[in-house]
Amino acid sequence: MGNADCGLRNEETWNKTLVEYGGELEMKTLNSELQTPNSGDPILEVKDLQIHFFTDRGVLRAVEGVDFSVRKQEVWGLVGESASGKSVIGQALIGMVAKPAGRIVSGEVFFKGEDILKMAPREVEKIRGNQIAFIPQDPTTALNPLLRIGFQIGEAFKYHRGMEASNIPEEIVKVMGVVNIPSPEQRLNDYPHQLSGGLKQRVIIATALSCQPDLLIADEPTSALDVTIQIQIIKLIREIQDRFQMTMILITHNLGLVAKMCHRVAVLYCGRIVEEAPVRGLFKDPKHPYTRGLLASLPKGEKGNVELYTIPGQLPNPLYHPPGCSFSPRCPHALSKCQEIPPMEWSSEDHRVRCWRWKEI
Amino acid sequence: MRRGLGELRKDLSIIDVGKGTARDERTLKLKKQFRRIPKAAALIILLLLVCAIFSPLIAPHDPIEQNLANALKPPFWQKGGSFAYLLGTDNLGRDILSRIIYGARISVIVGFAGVLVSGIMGTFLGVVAGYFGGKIDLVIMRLTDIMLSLPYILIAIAIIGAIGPGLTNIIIVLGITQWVGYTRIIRFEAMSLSKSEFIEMAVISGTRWWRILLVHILPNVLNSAVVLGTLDVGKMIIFEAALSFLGLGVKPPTASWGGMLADGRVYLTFAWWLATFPGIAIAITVLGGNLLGDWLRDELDPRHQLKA
Repeated sequence: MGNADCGLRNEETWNKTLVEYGGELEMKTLNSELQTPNSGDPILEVKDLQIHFFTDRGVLRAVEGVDFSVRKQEVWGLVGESASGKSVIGQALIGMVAKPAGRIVSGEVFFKGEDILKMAPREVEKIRGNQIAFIPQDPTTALNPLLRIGFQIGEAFKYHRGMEASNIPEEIVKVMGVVNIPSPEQRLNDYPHQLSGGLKQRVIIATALSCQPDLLIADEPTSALDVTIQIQIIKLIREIQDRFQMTMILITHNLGLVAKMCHRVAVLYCGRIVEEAPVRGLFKDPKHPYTRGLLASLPKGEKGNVELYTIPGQLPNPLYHPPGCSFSPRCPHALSKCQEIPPMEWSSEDHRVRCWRWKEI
Repeated sequence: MRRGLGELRKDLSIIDVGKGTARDERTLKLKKQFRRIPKAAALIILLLLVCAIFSPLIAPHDPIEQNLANALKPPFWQKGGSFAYLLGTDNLGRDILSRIIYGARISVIVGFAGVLVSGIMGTFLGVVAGYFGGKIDLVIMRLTDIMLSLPYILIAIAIIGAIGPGLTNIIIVLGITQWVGYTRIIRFEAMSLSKSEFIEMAVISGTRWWRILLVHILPNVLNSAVVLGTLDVGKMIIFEAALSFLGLGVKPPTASWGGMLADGRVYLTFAWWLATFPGIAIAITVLGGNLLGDWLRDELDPRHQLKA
């Protein structure tokens, strides 16, 4: 259909993408065991998650039936453009969907075999911040301006570990050391306004790590930082994930980041996962027209004035999703069949796609 | 035109991020802020406090001792006045100056205790309403609407009628009637704070709700509460005077400015000093309080500091 150049089909372009988006960052060899399909125990399983926002203007279907599972020690990426529902999924996993408008309409979220959504609030509190930690987007607003950072890092300790006050400073210094905050003993008593953006994000990461969580959810951890700091923070998160063998969910719109960080990746469009695959498979052989469009719109390192590809059309109004496949109005391959919602199909044993025509295009 | 390296270093040393310099900077800023304090207002409040605390030492006469032979003496500069009674005497021969000095005690106590009681009540309700929202917020907000629609003097008369007059009861009445202003302002601030990311982070860290209120929200709204409080001290003093004027305040022999106004009202046509001097005392005190409150409001407002 004239879009043969959309995907990054050979090794060379794949490596180019890495160079483009990783900068000087060295790619650590991903744990190859996790690359093999369907291996490892799932630590998190999400089944048919639906989250709607009941607004004055109508029901906003932010998440419409999302299924996925994340395996132990894996970095699982969730990509999508703004308003695709990726942050809402992240919030739902820690039981923090914005009330009163937002409601989890249906679905199950199994963490270590137990359904978080059916747990008593007290039980969820015990897991949240302890076994599941969260790194928010903007480090500048995520710290209380009136409290010393040592105190803020220590809060989770106090609650989840029931630690004695005398032990806390040592523990905090230890955690601050892990995230490479220079001279932690002195920084302990600083207020957030005395720190730079990068340091603030390190403090946030320290807070998230303080209880050594099994699952770390990072919601665009670098979008509020400038590029040089982004690389440092990404390096740090990657290192920590490796060192503590943590499972991680990375929510982002940065495909380069996904290429660097993730083992597997899911592409979200209008509240539905349209494609999920190991990261290499997705970049080298994208099946869904939306994924192809996304990859085609990346700069590929050409020289001179080359116009970048853009996906035609706009994201539909979230209040009125188109019937059938949400991408069909923008899709170059759309047929009348696309007025019905396509099922999720396995194209290979570890690659699934939600499109009627993935075999043909 | 190029600047020497030494000069550059000197510049850099000023913005050195050492611990000591940061602290010095803070004290410097505090000093600067205090230099801007309105001197006259500070003097008025200081004088009020001195009068209230050391009244037995300052007052020339006993404020409740009656001496009918000296009744209705004019201030010293008028014919018939004497330096023994600088501001004259009232209908029972009590020294007006001494009564004003002792009356400062009542005003200070009522002013500060009233603000404290109503401020704590209002701030607490505001934080709770703003953080929890929903039905709790609805109930508290309707309660403030009711309080605002009732004239406070009506409530005061009803309560005093039920529990009787007296200093403690006045403070209770002021607390019950004056918390609304704090609640409305603090609720709004707590509401926007509770949506902020650091509160979300605290919730995720497993912080309990009461700890979030106490450690995270309260300190962040305290600025407004303090400013509102200082501006309210004057209002409280006026309310106390009004209640005493109506005979709902402090019991008679005790000197209070409002009570003195009420007593002097009858004699206003031929002995103006009975009501005028306590009236002036009230006006000056309230002015001082308000000026100080304005200053504090400006100093705590970050936008003002940018201008300064």
